[in-house]
Amino acid sequence: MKKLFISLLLVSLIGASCKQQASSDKNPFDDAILFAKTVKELNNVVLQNNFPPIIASRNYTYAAIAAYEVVALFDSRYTSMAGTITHLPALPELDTANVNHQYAALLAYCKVGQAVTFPEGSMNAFVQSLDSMASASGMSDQVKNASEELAQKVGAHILDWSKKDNYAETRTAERYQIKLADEGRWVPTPPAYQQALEPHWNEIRPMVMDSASQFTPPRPLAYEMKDPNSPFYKEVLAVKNAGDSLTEEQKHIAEFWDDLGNRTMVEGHVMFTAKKFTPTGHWMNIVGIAAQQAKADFNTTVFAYAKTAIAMFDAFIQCWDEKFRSNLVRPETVINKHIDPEWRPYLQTPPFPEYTCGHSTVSASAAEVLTSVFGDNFVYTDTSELEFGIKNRSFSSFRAAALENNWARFYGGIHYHFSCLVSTEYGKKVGELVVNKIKAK
Amino acid sequence: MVSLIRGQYFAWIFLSLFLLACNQKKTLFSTVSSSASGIEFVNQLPEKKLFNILYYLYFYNGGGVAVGDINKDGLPDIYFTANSKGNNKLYLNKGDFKFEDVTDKAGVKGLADWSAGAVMADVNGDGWLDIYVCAISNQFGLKGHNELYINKGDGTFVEQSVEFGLNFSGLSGQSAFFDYDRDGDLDCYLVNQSYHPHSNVVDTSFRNRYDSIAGDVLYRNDLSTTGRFTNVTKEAGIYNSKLGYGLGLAVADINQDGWDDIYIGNDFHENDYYYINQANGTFKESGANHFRHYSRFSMGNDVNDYNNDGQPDIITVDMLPPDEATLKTYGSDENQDIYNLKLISNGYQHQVSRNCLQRNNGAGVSFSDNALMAGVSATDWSWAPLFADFDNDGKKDLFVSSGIVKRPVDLDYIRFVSDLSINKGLDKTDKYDQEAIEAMPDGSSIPYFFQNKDAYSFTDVSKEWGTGNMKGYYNGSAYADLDNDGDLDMVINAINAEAVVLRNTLNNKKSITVSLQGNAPNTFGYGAKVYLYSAAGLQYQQLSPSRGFQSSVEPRLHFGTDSLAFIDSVVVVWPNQQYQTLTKVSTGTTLQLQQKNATGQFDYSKWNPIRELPYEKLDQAAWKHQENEFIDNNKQYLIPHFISTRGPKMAVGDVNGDGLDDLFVGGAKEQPSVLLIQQRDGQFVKDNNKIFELDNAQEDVDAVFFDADGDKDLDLLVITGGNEILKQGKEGEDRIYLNDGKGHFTKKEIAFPIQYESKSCVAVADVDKDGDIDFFVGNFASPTGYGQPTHSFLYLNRGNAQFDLATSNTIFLQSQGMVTDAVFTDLNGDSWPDLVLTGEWMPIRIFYNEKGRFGKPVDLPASTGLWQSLYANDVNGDGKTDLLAGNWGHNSKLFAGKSSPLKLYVKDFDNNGSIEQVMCYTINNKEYPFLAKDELERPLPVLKKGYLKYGEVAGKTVQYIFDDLFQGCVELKAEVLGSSLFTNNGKGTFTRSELPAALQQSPLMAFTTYEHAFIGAGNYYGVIPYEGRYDAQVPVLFSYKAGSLQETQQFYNVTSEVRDLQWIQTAGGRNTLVVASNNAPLQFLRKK
Repeated sequence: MKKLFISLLLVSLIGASCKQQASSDKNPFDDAILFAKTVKELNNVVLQNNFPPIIASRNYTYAAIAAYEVVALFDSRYTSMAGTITHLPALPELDTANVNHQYAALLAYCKVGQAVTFPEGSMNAFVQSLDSMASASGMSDQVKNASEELAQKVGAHILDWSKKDNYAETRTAERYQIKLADEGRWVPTPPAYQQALEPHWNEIRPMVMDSASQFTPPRPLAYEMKDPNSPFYKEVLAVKNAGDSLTEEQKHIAEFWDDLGNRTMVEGHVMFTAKKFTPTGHWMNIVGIAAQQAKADFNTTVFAYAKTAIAMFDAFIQCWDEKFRSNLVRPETVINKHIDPEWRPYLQTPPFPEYTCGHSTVSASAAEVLTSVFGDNFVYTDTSELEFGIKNRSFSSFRAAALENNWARFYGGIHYHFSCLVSTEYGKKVGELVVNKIKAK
Repeated sequence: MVSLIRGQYFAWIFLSLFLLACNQKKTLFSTVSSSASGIEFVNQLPEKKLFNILYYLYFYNGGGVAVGDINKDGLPDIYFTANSKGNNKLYLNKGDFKFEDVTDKAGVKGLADWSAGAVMADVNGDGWLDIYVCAISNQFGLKGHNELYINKGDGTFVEQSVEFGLNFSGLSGQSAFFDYDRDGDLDCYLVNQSYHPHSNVVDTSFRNRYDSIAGDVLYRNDLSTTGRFTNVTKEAGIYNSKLGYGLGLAVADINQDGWDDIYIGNDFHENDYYYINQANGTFKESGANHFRHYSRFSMGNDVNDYNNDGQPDIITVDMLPPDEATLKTYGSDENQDIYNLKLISNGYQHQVSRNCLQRNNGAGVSFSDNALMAGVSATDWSWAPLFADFDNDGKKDLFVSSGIVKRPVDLDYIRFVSDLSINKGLDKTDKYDQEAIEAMPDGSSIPYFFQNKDAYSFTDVSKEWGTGNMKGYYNGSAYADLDNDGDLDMVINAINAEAVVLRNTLNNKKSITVSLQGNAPNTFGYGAKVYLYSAAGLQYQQLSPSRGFQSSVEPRLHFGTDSLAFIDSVVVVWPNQQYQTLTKVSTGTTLQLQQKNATGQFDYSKWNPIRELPYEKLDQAAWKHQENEFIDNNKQYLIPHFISTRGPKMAVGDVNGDGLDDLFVGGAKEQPSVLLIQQRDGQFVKDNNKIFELDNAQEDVDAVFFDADGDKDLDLLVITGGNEILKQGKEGEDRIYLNDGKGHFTKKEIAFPIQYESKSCVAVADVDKDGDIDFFVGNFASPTGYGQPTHSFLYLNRGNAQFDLATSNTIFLQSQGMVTDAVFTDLNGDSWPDLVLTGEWMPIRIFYNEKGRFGKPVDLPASTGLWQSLYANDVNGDGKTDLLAGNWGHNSKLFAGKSSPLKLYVKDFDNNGSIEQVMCYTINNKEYPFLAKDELERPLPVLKKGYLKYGEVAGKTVQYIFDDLFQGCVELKAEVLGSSLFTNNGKGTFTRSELPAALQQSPLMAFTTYEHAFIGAGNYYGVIPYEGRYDAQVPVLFSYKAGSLQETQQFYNVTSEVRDLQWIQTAGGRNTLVVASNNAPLQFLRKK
């Protein structure tokens, strides 16, 4: 069933691309939208795998870099990231003759993307349809083989490099220890009461930051719930009051940036999960929207995806480093314990400590990169959430979207407002670093 | 010619039919078809929009059955409830399994939208059985209220719940009629469900918040004064909140004090309630004082004495699947710290996701869950458990109905299938409801029968008794002798299928039926107790018809009498505690007894006494062991159980020469160990605190007093362990403290080369007979990887408390395994102390001492196990030293329903530098991982590569799941899990025998002697919730009689996690046993 769907998709794409492309009538792969669809396809696999958003950031980043490294071989505007990402070794000597580089880039993306997903060969059907597309477009065997071989080599190089980022070692690292006596310390939240996700993510090798703690934010407000006049108590109340009086617009904002990936619903003995984008998935989609709106060509689109993915990858590391340093308790826990045991946040609290806010951090970081690629004051309409039944929102700039994001987490009842502000500020720092380090020529 | 062929043809047909008939063995029960019985009742679930399992969490709970003789013709009649309006049915018993539907004539079809439980009782005291029906109303759009059908005596009933004040309208599941205040009339208890979203766990203070439709209700019968029942819930001390998802209800005098108590089974995280009748119109919920844990998702329950000791036991049923394929789609329960967060920190008591068979240890003081050992822990999604003697052999068997239309907890369903293709959340629209429900896998099951084998076990006889091949969803059930032939038949309410009527075809064993005529208004004698005394022993039952789930059994008591011709005495105790005794009662009869013939007041202590304990527990608050907060599984995700809770052990000796034994007890990590000096008055005083505080980083796991420096006083050696030993850190430091003769100790620096490991035990002896005492230290688990073998150590005394590590010339102790205990003892009678050691995944290993040198050790064949303790003693009195060895026991998921061996595969599976352990059990020669995919995947995401869905690996062997990942694995095994006696045959061989069942209830951690007998004790809480904390063991006194070990007595008021048992010399002699337990105070038991 899936194969048929994909074939139909591609047939329509060929049709679409035939209409849209002025040049390359015989090269259906020179289509930025096709790359965007490929990213979406990986996103579907990632969602099906139930990867938590933070782990998903690895998938996107390594896959995008693989595609970018292919592109950089063929476009003088773009240079390999080896060296800029200090631990990325230079590509070996590669034969670039007779290569359809877009096809190769797509294949490299799929090869790396599906290597870290499960089960094995989860994107095989999609890759098969690319193969069919190549044949159908009259691509010669010589070009086809050369492209596939290039993709294979680049993909292998990137995969090899990816295995050294400490991901494997952190699979069995010591879990977060709950300490009930410490009221200000994070504990799992309802309804799923999941254990803390990835307490050792700060051990993952960052792309451009010199260390996970390069941008350590200031200490959060001290936990204090005995005195109703304390700053902390007031912040807690602010979350509760906002949640108790949400306007329709505020609800929309919260839902728009929910991006929980897998939301657990529990009713009696019945449990199910509702699926949505993750923050990375959402911003990957925004990259696609921006690229299409800007009529960016294939290579620029790939560059945008890769740079944005890198920005989010490092932002997650920076954020998680702080989360498990301060281990701050979530508003929901505090409100239930001290103010109202029946209060529920509008969104579902994700399973990790509060400070700082992951979504706000990665959004601010991504916004910086997108601004550098497509410019500031880039007005766009974000249609990403439409497939989940949430209406579109329009933004005057990427930074404006990132800013709205931090209000979204507050309205959603899962963050203190002071956290959101710090998160945006520090996410921006990470983004700026990426912008400075990773440039087109 | 033609006729010959035809003849042959018919001969073949005849032969095959004959063979077929012979192969169809006769089963104890045969199903009576609806065409034969006339019982065509079906509980057909309603199909309505916005009303299904997604909206009403108990949509698949089914209906109930109430049985009783409503027209006084001597034949029990049957009433069924349906989950839809006007579909309840009443069938009149016409005899010989023929029934007539008299619903319309009787006027009892039920007007509530959803009927649930039903009960028959003489509510108005006029001698005729009335019917009370509970209904789910006032929620989910359901209308109606509970209904009371008063029997007019002429075949018709009138619904009078309003007049009687019993027209409760809420989430009523079932009721029970009983006389709680012993004023002669029947009061009423309602167990109600809840609607509160349970996913957000609130603390137990919520029990005190009143809810009008969800909380349970107690009604006092005030018919004689006000003409109505009065709601006395609050003043009676009954919880009335929406916290309790009450599904199970039992009324019984559980603590045998003459006053009826109540046991409520609660689904989800609210624990069950045990309301003890205070004899003054109130109840006190006291479960925490008597139960170690409950079923997590309690459905139905039954209170009855299944082991014939006169003490009521309790069974609660849950939803654990018995087969691997289903089990492994459910996942592995919560992690320990999430469990602690949700339940324990909020005040809830411990719960396990399986049936619990709570054996009464005596007078309701403590209960031990034996369900695993007894073989009744997993009957899938279960509803009605019922104890009854179906084969008339004098022992109560067990029936359990089970099955659910759809399984909402299948992990694949939850994680993947719930992603509906258009991505609209199920919380936004009902458009995808049908699709969501259809995607849930089917949960059909069978009605189970278990035959009672002995006091500790049951055998699944569902096939032999006729229900093993059935398939459906079976809920409320009741037993009754429908054809008055002296054996019990069964009636089962099923969903979307005809009700099942099972006829008992037994004809070779007799019984006694007791029919009670009480004083009005309790005309059927509800609450009366009957005790049968005979050569075969005791049988006890109480007339309390509300049993199982949403049902009531016929109000006659049935006792199987096997091949006895008569019963010596039948004693009946009426609700007012007057009693009557009948002697030499013939079997095969029905007794009709009348309360007006009873006299006196029944004295429980005389007729049904609890065996007095041979000791008294001293009120001594000497010291409490305090564990630190550490979850082993957070470090090594797949470690089979905690290894950080093995302490404390004690060293006993008179350190100051005053003739009284003093105690050293090891503290946990961050708790200083303590030296307690005994005073003449029996109190203990701490001493030498300062030096022990210096070493409080260590988790001291064993200690011993011995004269290390030869100056004739007792020095102290302390060994450390736990699971937090870092390289060369203080946490791994063992110490020797030298005694100055007056009980003052100083640490001897550099007394011996310390091994910074997680050790477990110490044993002392003069192994080389050079006049000074040497010691052996057993090494347990490597802190970097449980499963890797560690080296143990023998230290030889130079004579001045300076010790050298013995070289391999003396003894080779490398890579012994994971040692838990060791003893020095002369096994071969040559006067040289031999070394016996054992451990987890290890055999019993003997190093024979050949004049100071130990040769190659001898492993007792096929003796690998999860051994926890060793005790050397001449158990059978034949002059040779035998070995008692404590193992993991039989009351465990690792043993119940499994065959030998249990295995542990150890390897760095994913090459990331840390080793993992995959524990597997064996069923029918196939090995399955103990944990489900979700738990295995966490440290081994590489497993996801091959299989994404749980269904793909559920029920598959471990070899299939791991495939070539298994290459290079180290395989450890435990062939034996039962605690055992190894009898010394002389000549170097030993014969293993299992300790009595009473000692297999938990891991056995300590032994000692008691006069000419022995005591074994244990318990082990440090396991993941899926395995379930081992808390059932109380210390058991056992002795060697007539060639075997037998249980003598159970010390039912010692319920802690025991680690050590030691006798001490007091001013009154060697008369006090000190019990050291993990994370608990020391207990002192003084012989009477």
